[in-house]
Amino acid sequence: MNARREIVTVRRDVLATARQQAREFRDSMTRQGTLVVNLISSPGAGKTSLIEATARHWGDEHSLAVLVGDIATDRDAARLRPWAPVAQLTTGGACHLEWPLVEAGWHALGRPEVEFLFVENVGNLVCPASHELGEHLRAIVLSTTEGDDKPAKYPKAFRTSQALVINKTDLLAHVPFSVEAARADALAIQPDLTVLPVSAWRGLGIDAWCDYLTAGRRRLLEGRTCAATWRP
Amino acid sequence: MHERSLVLALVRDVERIVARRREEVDDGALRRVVEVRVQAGPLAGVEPMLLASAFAETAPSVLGPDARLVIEQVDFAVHCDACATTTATPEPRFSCPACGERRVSILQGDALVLESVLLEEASTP
Repeated sequence: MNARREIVTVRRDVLATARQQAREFRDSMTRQGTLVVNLISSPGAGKTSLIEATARHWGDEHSLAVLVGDIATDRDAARLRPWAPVAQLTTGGACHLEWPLVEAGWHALGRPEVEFLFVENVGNLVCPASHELGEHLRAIVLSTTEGDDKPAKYPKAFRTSQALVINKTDLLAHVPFSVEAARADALAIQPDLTVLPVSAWRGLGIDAWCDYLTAGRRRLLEGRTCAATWRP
Repeated sequence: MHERSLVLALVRDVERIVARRREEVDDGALRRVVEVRVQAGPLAGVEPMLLASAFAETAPSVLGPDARLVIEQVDFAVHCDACATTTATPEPRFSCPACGERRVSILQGDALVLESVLLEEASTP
């Protein structure tokens, strides 16, 4: 006698449950008025430098806290500590952050009711693109030393971001990088990207980036949408 | 390499589905998972070989030794918000080939989707 078989049709994104939970965390951050920013980039593009430059620009004007994801060492956290409360999320080899780490890090900081919570993802343009962390904004940092071909090579990271920060513009005279080419390729993937050229090291363009963040938080407080769009 | 964490999420979903099916039918029969069918498109961020090896490591201890993973490769599909054309291509394409519009909605191919679970009822003697 043959055993009976049945097919249960599901048709569901494997990450849907995690995304739902991440969005509940994001909603709780919305209620307390904290804008959560997920920073994604290759290693060395300047995520930590961008946060430093942001904190330097704001001074006491705005409050922020930082969660730093790193595979090993707390060097980035040590760099940021003079500027803001920082929790280190050492992933022990994992290539990306997931929302439970972010929630745990925020609790480890004592659940600060800051205006901005920066989550510095693990340096990687592949895996972090698939994992929502409860962010309101996903910003991708692309540095001029990496080459302007990165948007076309890593489309998912650019498609799922709302802002593209082109860092190390002070080196443009020395490297074969076209801001226009990177911008055009990125906009072909995500037409609603806000493109912000900066030099975190020299402090160039940081005012526009900071204005972008404060405008984002203002929208959040006004109850207007500011949400990461996954299937736009 | 995040296939391991995708497999953990996948296996948890399958476990939940088996448990719910058991409750719904409530006939006391044992059901084992014989096939887990997933769809992955070109923007899913999934390497099929790595997914298969992560599944082979993780699934037997949770779903039993008979659970087989079937990975279907699907096209990338977008819907044009301007001219309402739906297009499928093997590679990701973020504009409408019919009218050139850049604002398109991704319908398929950007996620790892659990398509179905095949259950087998253990035969009664």
